[in-house]
Amino acid sequence: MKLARRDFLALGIGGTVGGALATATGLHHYYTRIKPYHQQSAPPQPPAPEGWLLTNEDLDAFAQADQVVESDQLEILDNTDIPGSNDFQMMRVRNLGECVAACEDNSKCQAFTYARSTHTLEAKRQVCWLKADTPEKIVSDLMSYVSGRR
Amino acid sequence: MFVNAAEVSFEAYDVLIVGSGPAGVTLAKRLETHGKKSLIIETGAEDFEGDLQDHYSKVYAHGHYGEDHWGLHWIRAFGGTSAVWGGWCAPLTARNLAPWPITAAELDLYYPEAAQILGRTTDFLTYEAPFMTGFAARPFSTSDEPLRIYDAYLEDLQQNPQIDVLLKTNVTALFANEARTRITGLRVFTAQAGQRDISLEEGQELVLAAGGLGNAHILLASRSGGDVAVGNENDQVGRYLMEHPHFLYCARMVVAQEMVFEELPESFGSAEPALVPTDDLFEQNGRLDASFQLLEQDVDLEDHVEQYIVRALGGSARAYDVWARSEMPPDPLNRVTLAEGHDPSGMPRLRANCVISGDTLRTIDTYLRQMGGILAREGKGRMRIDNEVIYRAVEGGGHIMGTTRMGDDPGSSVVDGNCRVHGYSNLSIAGSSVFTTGGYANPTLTLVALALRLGDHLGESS
Repeated sequence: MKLARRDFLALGIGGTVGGALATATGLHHYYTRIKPYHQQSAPPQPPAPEGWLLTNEDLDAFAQADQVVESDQLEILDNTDIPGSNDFQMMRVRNLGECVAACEDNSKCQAFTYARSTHTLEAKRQVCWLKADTPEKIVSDLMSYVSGRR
Repeated sequence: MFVNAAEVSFEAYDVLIVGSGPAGVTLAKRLETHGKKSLIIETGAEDFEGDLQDHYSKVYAHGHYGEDHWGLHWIRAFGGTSAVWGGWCAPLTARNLAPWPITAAELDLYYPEAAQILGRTTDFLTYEAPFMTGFAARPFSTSDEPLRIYDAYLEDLQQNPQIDVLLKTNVTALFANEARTRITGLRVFTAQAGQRDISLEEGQELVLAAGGLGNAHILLASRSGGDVAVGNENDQVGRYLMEHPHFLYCARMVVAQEMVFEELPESFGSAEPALVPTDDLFEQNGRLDASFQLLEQDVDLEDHVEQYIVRALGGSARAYDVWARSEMPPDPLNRVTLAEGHDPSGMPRLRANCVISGDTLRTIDTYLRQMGGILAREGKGRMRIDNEVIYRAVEGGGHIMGTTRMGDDPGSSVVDGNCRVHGYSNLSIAGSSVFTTGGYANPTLTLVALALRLGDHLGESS
């Protein structure tokens, strides 16, 4: 696996600031958060969005963005949507990890939902919703979403 | 001078020109410089009249373009189809003219003057600049006020002693001698007087400049000598009907900031930026020419792919929507034929069959995939192609070409390199109907250049 600069940014390391130690720690942190994918070195690639002529590297980047991560503070629910629950922020993120980190770093955030890059609605792809309420209901078996709650 | 049908002496003119559009008027003006007197015969009135348009430009349509499409680009009024001209100009280049019986050098003699007539400088005739691997920048010359024959020539022609104009008069048929070597007369129709046959004197020339459909229509309707119409001895009239398939918003590219068109010299005038394939790519793609207009747009950061591309390109990018304009290869099965019913002058209606081939659609798709592949390979951007637009939503430019095609072989053409109908000593054709192939370029510039050339040929020859 190759890590681009944007991946470091996603971890909040902020490029070169923080020095080599921070970088090494961040790398370690990043790798340990990613769930091992069964018997496969690469995560499954989503099909290219309709019409786009993309490269394998592009598709790897999208697959990477959607890959489930672990969190110390949040219970991660794969293939799950949390509708409603008082969204207080909606933003487009570069990957799921960024959404998880945003929720972790915000004490107001009780839950989040992330729409995968394969979501059928273009407007929702890679969008991250932060939620202020503890979710009352969750909707499982929706492959387009990953959610989490405290 | 404007004359009326009841009083005009047809034998007083050196040349009779059927049609008052850019081809006919350019020709008459050129003949004037050679001291030749001409009469322009026009179906329409001085101003556009909807009734005349409805009566005379109804075409049955089959294939990719509907009835309205053909009528809309066959205007029956003084000035002809210049009334709806969009004003875009581009020359046919040497590779486009390769199948023609005349060389690029012969046409290049007339392009500068044609450009001037259409209100342009000559920069666009030769301008080409690098843009990306495989494609060069070749902008179209455009104008906010494209030449309208009405505005540019009405006053001149109202008092010009060398050029007379006869309005609201249809030429409905031509007559040939038995040997089919010269035109001996023509039949004209006016609403007031009905039909009248005019004989053509020795030394008088007749030129059809009645539009991409009109020229073939008049020949096909000229069947008084039997089943075979005048000029149609080899069954070629009306065939090779061509358009320029247009694919609007067929693709979109998000590219690096440096992918920008070089600033044009100020003398270039208004322009629309566009790319053309290099000769290598043109050869690879079966010598089908195309132009890809790039319309600069904002990058859509709501789109996660575009957002990703912007990041991959280092944080900033440009976006262009792509409009493709394609050549359409001449196909004898794409044709206009006489059909059922007739117009008020008694001429049979036309039927247009115009099918854009799968090869043409596929070639445009291929060009776009090559463009997108090059951008990705060179790290300069990414491209999205809209399959629906290419394969199911093709449009046209109203560029009606090829129906009286130019060629050396009468078995696959109607006129020779001098725009003379094969076998006839006094019948010529002006307009885009003589185009052997159409390239991607809007036809007006080339048809004006050809009209100048025909004017010189007729002016100098007799």
